[in-house]
Amino acid sequence: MMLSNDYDKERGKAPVSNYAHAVVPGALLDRHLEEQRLFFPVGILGFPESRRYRLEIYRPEDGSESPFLTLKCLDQDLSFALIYPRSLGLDYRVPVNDEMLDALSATSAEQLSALLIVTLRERIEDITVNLQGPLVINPASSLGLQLVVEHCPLRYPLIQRSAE
Amino acid sequence: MLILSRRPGESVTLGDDIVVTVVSVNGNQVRLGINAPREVRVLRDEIYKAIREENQAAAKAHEQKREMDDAFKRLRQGTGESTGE
Repeated sequence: MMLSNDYDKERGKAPVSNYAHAVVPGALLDRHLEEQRLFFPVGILGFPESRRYRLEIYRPEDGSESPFLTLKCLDQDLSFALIYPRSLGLDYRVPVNDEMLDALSATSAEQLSALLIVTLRERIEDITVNLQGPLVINPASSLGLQLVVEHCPLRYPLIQRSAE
Repeated sequence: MLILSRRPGESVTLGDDIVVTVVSVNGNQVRLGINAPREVRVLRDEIYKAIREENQAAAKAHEQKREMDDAFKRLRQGTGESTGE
């Protein structure tokens, strides 16, 4: 999978939700995650009541490897497909500040990991990844939240066709 | 809807711990300062709605596993060997 890197080409430096006053301009949050239970104290946007989830590595039925994970809600029949930002080949950074670290019971950005929600659609070229609303997770505290990064695209195509 | 007139520097208090202050007015643009507890999400309305809708589009129920299997199969075919076009 090769994906282009032009999402930040023209957007300005729009402030970013609650976390506009980022102490650190942006962190990679690039840790590998294990399967585990997660708690989202304020839910995921649009699903405020769904707070308990289980993160699972997605394994294709043929037993091969994939870059995907699933986030299964334990409170209702709900689940999300997720992907690591690095699987898209993007230098994807999210703003981190003290409030966010606090909310996730973390002391530094290195403890955190970011995952992106994939919107599956019928045609593969229509499948997109949400770079505007990443999930930020602290595996040590099992806490997560959905961050809003206004200047990133909401629907970034999963596949940017190229040879390979 | 409750409608109030405020001047720059004046505020509106929502509940016990949310204060919205008019910082400045410039033509048709109003700058607001918002003080709210950390657990209260403050977002531009259009951004909130867009992300909520995208989350809802991405959220699947019991179909998820099958849909992912399908998508993944197609992805691998699509990115592996070239299939015409």
